[in-house]
Amino acid sequence: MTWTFKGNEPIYLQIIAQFRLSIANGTYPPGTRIPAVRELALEAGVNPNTVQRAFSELERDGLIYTERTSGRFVTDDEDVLRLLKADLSSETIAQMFHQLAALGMSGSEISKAVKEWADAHEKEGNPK
Amino acid sequence: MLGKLIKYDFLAIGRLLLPLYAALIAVSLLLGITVRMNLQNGMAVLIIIYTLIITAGMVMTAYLLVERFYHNLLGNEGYLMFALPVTTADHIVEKLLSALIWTAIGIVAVLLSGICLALTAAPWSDLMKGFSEFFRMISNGEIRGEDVGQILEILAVLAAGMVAFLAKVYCSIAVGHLWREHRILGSILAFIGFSILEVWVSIGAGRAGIITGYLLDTGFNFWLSAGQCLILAAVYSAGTWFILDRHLNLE
Amino acid sequence: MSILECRKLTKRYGSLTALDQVDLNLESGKIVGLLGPNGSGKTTLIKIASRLLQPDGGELLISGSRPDENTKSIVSYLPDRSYLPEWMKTSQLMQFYSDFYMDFDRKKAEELMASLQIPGNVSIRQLSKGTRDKVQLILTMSRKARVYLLDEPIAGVDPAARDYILRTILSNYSPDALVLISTHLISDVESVLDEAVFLKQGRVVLHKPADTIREETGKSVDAYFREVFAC
Repeated sequence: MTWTFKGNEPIYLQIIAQFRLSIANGTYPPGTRIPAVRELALEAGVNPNTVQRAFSELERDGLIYTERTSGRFVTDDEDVLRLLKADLSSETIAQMFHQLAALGMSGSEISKAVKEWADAHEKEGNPK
Repeated sequence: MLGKLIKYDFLAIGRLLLPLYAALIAVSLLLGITVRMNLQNGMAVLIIIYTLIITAGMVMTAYLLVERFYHNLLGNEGYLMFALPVTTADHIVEKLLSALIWTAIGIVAVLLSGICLALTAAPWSDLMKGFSEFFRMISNGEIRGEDVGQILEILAVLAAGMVAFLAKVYCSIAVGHLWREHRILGSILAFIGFSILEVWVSIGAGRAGIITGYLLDTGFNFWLSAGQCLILAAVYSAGTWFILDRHLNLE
Repeated sequence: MSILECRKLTKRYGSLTALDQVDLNLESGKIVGLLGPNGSGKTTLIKIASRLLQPDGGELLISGSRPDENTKSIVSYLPDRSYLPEWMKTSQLMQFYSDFYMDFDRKKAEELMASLQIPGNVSIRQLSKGTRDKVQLILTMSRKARVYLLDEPIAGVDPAARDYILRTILSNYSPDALVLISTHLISDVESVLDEAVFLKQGRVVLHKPADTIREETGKSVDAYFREVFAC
């Protein structure tokens, strides 16, 4: 995984966001092993304490868990994963809404535009 | 730690002086051969080379002992040396010890070359005669323990004098180090200043002069002279220590 | 307890005050950036910590003690210049470090040299500046020290070498050690920093975790630095 960080946001938050996305979109499928703190810090070019902080929060949110001797793994708890996807999708939708609203579109205009776009691109299947 | 410091000074200086001394031995062997075979031209050339090498050895030793102090402790290498878990006193003592060691090595090298020269130049019969003569003189008391003692005394004074002189040089370099913009000039002025001070102190004490003066004034009491030189060396080294330990300011 | 502590640390060079009553507490297990423009006192602070300089006022403590020959055995200092004897071969330098520093990991140093294809029987004089810098870094980081003082480790270094240096610093991370990186090139190092200390004209004007700076200001440490130090 290649990591690029924006300088103006806390790095630990960016790591968390990247993991949430990777877990939700299947890059890190449920039950897979996550790299160790050191390994990830080296790969991403960031401080190990920052990685540790991100992991602690992901763990607190139930997205990953630690097996004492074997390492850290992505949860396979279906409820948690479903909640994650729901969170991410509403974040994305909210972002889109705000951007379109800034162009002067109303809520119903946005809904209509989205439906039109979805219908027109349905044949292409799910863009991956 | 002192031993380790000596080891690396030894490597630094040895890589230049040891080949020179090896060449000296080689030339002395060749010279001996030309003497034995009576090759006049070869002898003349080799005698010149021999003298040159000895001169080079003395000059290089003097230069290296000073340069090591200046370069190794107060140049960029100082960042390496002063970061070592070693006291400032260790560094100063080690440099002085190193000086003694290399002077001794130089003297031994010259003696060794002399022996090599004798061994190759003289026919065996002459050498054997010389050795038996030497042993005879020892066994019937013509060479006495006292004579050996005298030689040791002279060596002690020379060694002490050298250490005192070098300690003075090091202290001058240290004082010069304090004057950031003109370090070398400062060192030279300090040396001159110390020399003048020595003369004043010794005149004040009713003597003709320190170091060599001591020999005359103490009535050729070598041990007293040596002792006074060592005290002088200690005073200069204390000054050096104070500057390097408390006022080091590497560029 | 902090591993490196400054209490009203002051140092003057003639009429110039390089460090002005500096108070600072740095802990093990952190990578801290000592950030400031040239002449802000960073090198002075580092030199006092490695006992290459004596303070004029206040004190600096390493693990509770003033710098002496004992603290030097737990402090690993990388100066911002070429400090290795030119005549020495890299293999001799390994031996040198092994001889003087009990915490020197020779095997690790040899592996790092080998991975960069730096031969052992070549004198420092024969190495290019870039290679020399790497040798110095390897020797410094191959010690298991409690405090690493890196003075401008990436200045004057090409991007690939810079990445190598930062990777070496990260892979060397230990919760028992403090790594203090002094630099004026902040954007290159800020992602590896736990904390940032801003040093302005000999005074500490800021000491915060890097992520906190980003959170509070909405800016990168580099951008915030430029703001604080704008002329």
